[in-house]
This record gives sequence, structure tokens and C-alpha cells, in this order.
Amino acid sequence: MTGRHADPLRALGLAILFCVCILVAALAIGAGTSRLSLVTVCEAIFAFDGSRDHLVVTMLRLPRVLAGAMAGAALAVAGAVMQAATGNPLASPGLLGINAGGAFAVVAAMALQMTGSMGDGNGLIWYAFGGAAIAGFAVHALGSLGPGGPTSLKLVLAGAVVGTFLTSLTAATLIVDQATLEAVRLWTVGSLSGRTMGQVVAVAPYIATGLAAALVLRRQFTTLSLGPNISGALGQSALLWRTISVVIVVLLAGSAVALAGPVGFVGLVMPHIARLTVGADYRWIVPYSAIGGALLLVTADMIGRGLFANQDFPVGVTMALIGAPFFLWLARYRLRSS
Amino acid sequence: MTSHRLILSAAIMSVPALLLASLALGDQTVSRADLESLVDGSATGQIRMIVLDLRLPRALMALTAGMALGIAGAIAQAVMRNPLAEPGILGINAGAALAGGLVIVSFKGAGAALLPVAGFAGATVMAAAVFALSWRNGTSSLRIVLIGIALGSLAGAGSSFLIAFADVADVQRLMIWLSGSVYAASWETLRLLAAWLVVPVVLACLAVRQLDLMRFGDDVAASLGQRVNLGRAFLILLCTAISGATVAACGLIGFIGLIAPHVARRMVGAGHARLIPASALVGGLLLMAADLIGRTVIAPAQLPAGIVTALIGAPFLGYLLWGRRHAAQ
Amino acid sequence: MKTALCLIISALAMLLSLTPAAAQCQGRAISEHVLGAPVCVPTAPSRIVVLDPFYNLGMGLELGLPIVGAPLMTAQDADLRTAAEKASVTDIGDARQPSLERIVALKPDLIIGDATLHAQVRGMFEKIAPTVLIDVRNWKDHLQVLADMTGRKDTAAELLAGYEARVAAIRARVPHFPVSVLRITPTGFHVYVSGPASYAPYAVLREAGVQRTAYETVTDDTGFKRPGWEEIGLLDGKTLLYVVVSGYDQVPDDALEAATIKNPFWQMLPAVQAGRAYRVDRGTWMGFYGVASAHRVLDDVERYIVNAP
Repeated sequence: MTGRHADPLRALGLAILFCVCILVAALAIGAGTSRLSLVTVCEAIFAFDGSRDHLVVTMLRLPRVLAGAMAGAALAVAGAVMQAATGNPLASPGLLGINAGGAFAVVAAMALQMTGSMGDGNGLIWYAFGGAAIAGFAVHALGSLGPGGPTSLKLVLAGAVVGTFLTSLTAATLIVDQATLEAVRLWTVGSLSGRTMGQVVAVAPYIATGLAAALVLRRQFTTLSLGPNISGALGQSALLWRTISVVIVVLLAGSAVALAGPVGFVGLVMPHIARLTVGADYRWIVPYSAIGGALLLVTADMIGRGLFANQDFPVGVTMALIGAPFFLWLARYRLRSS
Repeated sequence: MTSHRLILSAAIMSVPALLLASLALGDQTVSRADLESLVDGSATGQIRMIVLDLRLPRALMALTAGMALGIAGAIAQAVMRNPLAEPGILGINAGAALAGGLVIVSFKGAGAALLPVAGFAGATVMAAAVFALSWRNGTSSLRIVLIGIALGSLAGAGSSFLIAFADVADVQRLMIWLSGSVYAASWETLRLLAAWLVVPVVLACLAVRQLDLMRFGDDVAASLGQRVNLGRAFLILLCTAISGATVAACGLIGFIGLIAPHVARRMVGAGHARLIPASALVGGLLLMAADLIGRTVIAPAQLPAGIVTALIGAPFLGYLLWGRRHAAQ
Repeated sequence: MKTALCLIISALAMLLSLTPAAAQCQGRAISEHVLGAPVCVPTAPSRIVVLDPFYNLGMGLELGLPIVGAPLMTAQDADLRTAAEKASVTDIGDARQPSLERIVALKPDLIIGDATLHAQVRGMFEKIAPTVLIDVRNWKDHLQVLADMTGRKDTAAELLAGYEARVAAIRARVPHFPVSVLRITPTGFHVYVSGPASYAPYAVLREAGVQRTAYETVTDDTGFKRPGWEEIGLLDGKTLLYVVVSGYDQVPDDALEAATIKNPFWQMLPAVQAGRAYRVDRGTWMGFYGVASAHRVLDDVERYIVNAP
């Protein structure tokens, strides 16, 4: 799909994707221990009458699906922005340790009693931001050492080192502090269970800001993705745009971690699928990633809940089972060796 | 180079010193007189048991496992051509963790003996899968790393699944095993580990020339007569055999394979003929120290060595970053 | 060549380290319900180290065993820990990896542990003293095995007889409607089911004749279930007992309870609507360590089920 004539096609595709997303979200709200029809779901949202089914929808399922959609969109767009800023097709919040950083900061804060329970969305978010930012910087710094600057291999390895280190620290904290382990056991692998409307509302402004910024600046991201030489020649200040990218990524990835824990692969897989579908123009990649990411995470959660009806299957595990084979395929067939 | 030689001699002298410290220090006081009584045969049964049956095999196990991890780390960094590589990148740790987890959850009592075997098998299967999947007209470092991460994530998802849904007692045992510890070191396991390690370590020493050639990049190495892909496969196999044996004996201990070669490189330079033994030395010292700290700092509770090494990883990474901040870009 | 030599030497060394065949047992030979049976234990042990702060410590103290060491660091129940300290029991650390050196220093003549926790490191303990790792599911069997092994059969029989008499009396008076029992944790609800492999307090509940709802009753080896807010509607017993456990520390429990009670799904439970939902002590229902614990469970049964309005 190239050329300006393709734009209406892409716009149409986006609209269709959006409708599919809404439909799947409604289905996801209806799915669960008791199957609720789409009609009931709509009634619950628009004509709430306090009955048990409606309560199930508004208190349990709607927040969960909303949280999944928001986290999915945030992670996918964060991945897209990272890939533009580093010029690296492997950049993503999970691979480069950013998720692990946010997760560790949250666990450490809870272990040190600096914040209340998981329900305190507002308190957690700032720790998640802080952890994500520090981890991101550390990975970038580590991966830039040595000749050649931040190549794919060095960044990925740096991300693996920092990520493993932070995960070990998180595990160590949880072994020593059993109380926090009880509270976050499922969350540490990425989970949407028990999300409340309060948490969703607390995190929403940050995700909305990040998404809005990314959408508004899409054109500039296209320029940025062409590489430092070309974008510099086109008058773009590398430092300014790197900083802006970092702020957006931290905002989005940190919020997603505060909401759903460290869910991997969304930020890596979605932008690539978008790129395969609509080409390398970030004016389209960003919105497609956002909606696609929301759709992906909501679907993954629905599958998890459908397969294991009474147990809470963490969405992070489902995402790994879906994302890892895709990542394998990507690594094997679509990357040029360096 | 004199200062380097000094540091190297200091390191070599540290081994018996640390060993002695490991025998003397611990939860129960063992005085100098007690140690002397061991030598002249007049020690009580209690002292003999504490020093000879508990502390000595434990310290030697830490030394051996640390040496093995140091060597495996040096090989991994040479094969990946990157100073941030470690054996875990090949998915070894994740595969061993999953296999071990499956055993712990499925077999209750009999699992104890199966655990080392499962760990080793899991590590080997994973490394083989990573290599096989990254083979596409040969291999490349980047592809190996990425496939290692992908398969590692899959194995990690499997382990998370087990942790989330298994019995609480099983999960506790799994977490202890996963954190890596030489708590259960005995003369028998030490002998087994040594026997397993003899062949791969000797082969690693013989392969120093191959390792040196790998540093120059595929093209240069090929032109110098190295069969690059075969060489890489062989070295990965060696690295897996060595780390897999360590995992089988002590569970998962990370960061030694990352840190030891760096320190060794500072001491003796990058030539593998010196780097491999130096890496072994540093690895052994690090793990002995980690275990000593782990069993004395919150006595009588034991902090697994794997956690101590994870904790020293950060300051070390920071030190690495700081030391190389002026490195050529 | 060198390698082959090394391998041969190692193999020889391993062979040489084989222990000679076990000599005739001088004490009691335990062959049932323990790992690695038969195990030879002294007839009258005088210094016992236990490896877990649950059944072995609690029941050991009840039977009046001469316990010198136990992992008190991980003992959750304050009463048990105080009782152990009063009996001059030395702390040997964490139940999962107790300090071997401390155990050696205590000079035990018998070590008693639990098969699930300590199977992997049995070899280490056996070097110090004869080690018995008890492998039974039922708490009463555990008490019997412990008593048989240490020559306290009479004490055990007495304790159990008292318990059985009380249970029989309660069983006659228990009303015939279902009761639900639920544990509230920060990550959700845990329901310990009534079945062949029930956790001890719930097995006691069953023996006392208390009926549970269909959701809470199983015939297989399930230990507990994890319902979500949607599923707790299935806990429709006429009376509801709930335990609040937020972690090791008891302080956040009240906040957790308050947050749970406010929820409309909770308020739709039949027991809550009838005003028959009672909070019970977590020590009794989540930390079982002996016959005294069983009696505490029966106390709750009497207070909330038999004698309730």
C-alpha cells in the first residue's frame, strides 16, 4: 500500500479495525463464568438497573476489558515510538528492560511499605514511571558502550542483562518478603485480574496524554525513523526528539505496567504487524498499533479466561505464548544478520 | 603490566585464604585452636562434622561451580562477540528452570534425585532448540540471542504457569531451587560435579585458539581457516555442558558468568589462553565469597548464593558502566 | 588419555565411597509412612530436632517430646513460638533451609521432618542423626506416627480420645444446613474444600458433621479453589465464616475486610443478607499445629454454628 491513493484505503482499514475492536471488547465483557449476551452488556452500560448481571458487567468485566485495551494500546504505541527513535526493529518496552524496571519499582515500593495495596493506582504509577525511566536509561547507556554505538545486538543484550537483573531482584524481594509475594504473585507475570474502575480512571489521564502526544507527533516520528543523518539534514534536532520519545515511552509503558504488570511482546509484535500491513509511514503505524494493541491484549485475556474458567490465567502468560512464536518467526526470517 | 601481575598473584593467593575463611566463619564458632586440633587429629566429632562434612564440601562446591560458570561465561562472551553475553542468554537457565519445575510439581518425594538430571536435560534441550532454530544457512550472534530470548520467554511463561497454579509447598521448593544454592553440597555431589566437568573443561582449554579467532568476526575467522559455524556449534555445546552441569548441581546461579570474564579481562588481557583460567579463578572466588556471605549474614537463616550474586550484580554493572564511559565509540 | 584416567579415578572414588550394608538396628525400626523406610531410630530419644514449625513442633510439644531445636524464624503462630521458647527450643533458622551447623551443635539423636519440605536434602540431615521424614496426609495419622516413633502412644491416645469424644458430641448437635467458609486474601478468595485431602481445620469441620455447599465439596484430591467475585455467589451457605489474611503482618487485615464488605457482590450473599456472616480468627483456621488447634476449630463450630441464633 503506497502512494496517496492508498490513504483512503488505510483510513477505511483503521475504521474497520476500530469497529472490530469494539465488537471484541463487547464480546469479552460478555464472556466469563456466566455468559452474558451483547444486549445485556449494552443495557448494563447505558441503562444500568442495579441487577446482579449489570453489576458483574460494570464492576468486574468492564474495568478489566478497559484496562486491557488501555494497556495494550499504550504498550504497542510505546514500542512503535521506541522503534522510531532508536531505528531498531527490536526496540520494545519488554525487550529493553523498561517493563522489568517499572515492575521492580512497584514491588520494591510495596515491600518497603511506601505505598498501600495494589488498589492504590495513583501511588503506584509514579513508582512505575520512575522504575521504567531508570531502567530505560541504564539499558541505553549500557548498550551504547563500545564501538558502533547502540546496535541491535548490544541493545538487546543490554536489555537482557538489565531485565534479568531486575527480575532477579524482584524475585529476591519476593522470597524475602512473603507478604508482598501474596499481593503480587500473579501481577508479576502480567495480569488484569481484579482491576477496578478506580484504578482504570487513575491511570487513564497518563495513557491518554501519551497516546495523544504520539498521535499528534506522528509525522515527526516518521522523519525520526529515517535515521539520525537524514532527520538531522531535515532540520530535526536529535536531542529534542530523543527526549520527547523517552518521555512518551516512559509515560505509556510506566502506566501500562502500573495497570497490568509487565506484559511482554505487545510492544514488539504490534508495530511489526502494523508495519507489514500499512508500510513504514508512522502517520498510520501509530493509530494502527494503538487499536491493534488494544485488540490483541483484550483477545489474549479473553482466551485466558475462556480456557481456564475458574482460575485466573494471567494475561502475560497468554501473551508470551502468542508473542514468542511470532518473535521467533521474526528473528528467524525477517531480520538481516549483523 | 606489573600491577596486573600483582593483582593476579593476589587473586591466586586469595583462594586458599578464602577457603580458610569459609572453614572458620559461619553460624557456629570454630576457633583457631579448633582448626589446629583438626590437623593434629584431636578434634571433637562435632568440629569434625561442621568443618569437614559441612563447610569444606560447601566451599569446594562453590569454588568448583564458580570456576565452571566463569569458564562458561568467557566462552559465551567469545561466541556472542559481546561483553554482555552470559550463558543464560542461550535460554539455558529458562529451560533448566522449566524442567526442574515440572519435576518438582509432578513427583513428590522421588523428585529429589531426578532434579539434577531434569535440570541438565532441560538446559541441553533448550540450547539445542535455540541453535537449531537459529540455523539458517549458518548462524549469527544476533539471531542466536533473539531466538534464545524468545524460547526463554516461552519457557518462562511455562514456569510462571506452574508457579501460579501449583501447590504452595511445591512452589516454595521450586523457588528455593530456582534461586540457586550450594546448601546441599556433599562430597558425593562434589565428586559427581567434578567428574562431569573434567571433559568439557579440558576441551575448553584446548579450544582457546578457536575462541581467539571468533573475536575477529566471521569473515576474518573463516579466512584464517576456521570453520565458523561448526566452531560456534561446538563452543555453544561446551558452554551448555558446563553450565548445565552447574545447574544440575546447584540450581540457577546468575551473573558469575557475566562478571568473572570482565574482571579477568582486566587482569590478564583478552587472550583466551590466559582468560579462561583467570575467568575460572575469579568465578570461583566470587561464588565462594557469595556463599560465605549468604550463610553468615542473617544466620541461622540462609540466603541462597544465587540471590547474593544477583544483589552484587547491580553495583558491578554500575562500575562497568562507569569504567567504560570513556571507551571509544 | 588423561581424560580417561580422570574418569576412571573418579569412578573408583565414587565406588569407594559406598557405605557398607546397614548394621542391625539397635532401636526402633520405622517402616511405614516415612520416606526412605526403614529408618532406625533410638528407642528413647532424648534430644530431638524438628525441621518444621507446624505439625512436628506443635504435636511434638503436645506429646511432651524433648525437642531441642526447631525453625522458629518461620513460625507464624505467636502462641506456638512462645511455647517453644518456654520449652528452651533453640531456633535453627528457616524451615526450608535450616542451619545445618546449628543442628550439629545441638547434638540431636533424632531429626524429624516433613516429606514435602525436606525430601531433597534428606542426605544432609542423615549425616548428623537418624532422620525421619513423615509422609502422611491426615493430621491424626501424623500424630500417631509421631507418637509411635517416640514411645508416646499413650499420650497420643489420650489426646485423641478427648478430641473424638468432643467431636461426637458436637456432631449430634450440629444443624443440618450448609455452611460456607471462605478466606479473603489481597489477590482474591481461597476456598479450602471439604474432601479426602482437606487441610486439617476443614477436615475437623467435616468430622464435626458440618455440611458445606456443593461448590465447597469435592471427592478428589483438590485442596482449595480460587473463586472470583462472580463465583462467590456459589457459596450460598446459610452461615458464612470468613478469615481475613492479608499477609504475615496482621495490621492490614481490617482494611482488607472493610474493603471486601463494601462490595455489592458480598452483600448479595444469602448469609450476609441474613446477618449470619462471622469473621473468625486466622490463627485457628490458617495455622494448624496439633490437637489444641483442633479444639479451637471446634470452639468456633460451637460458637457460630451450633449455638448461633
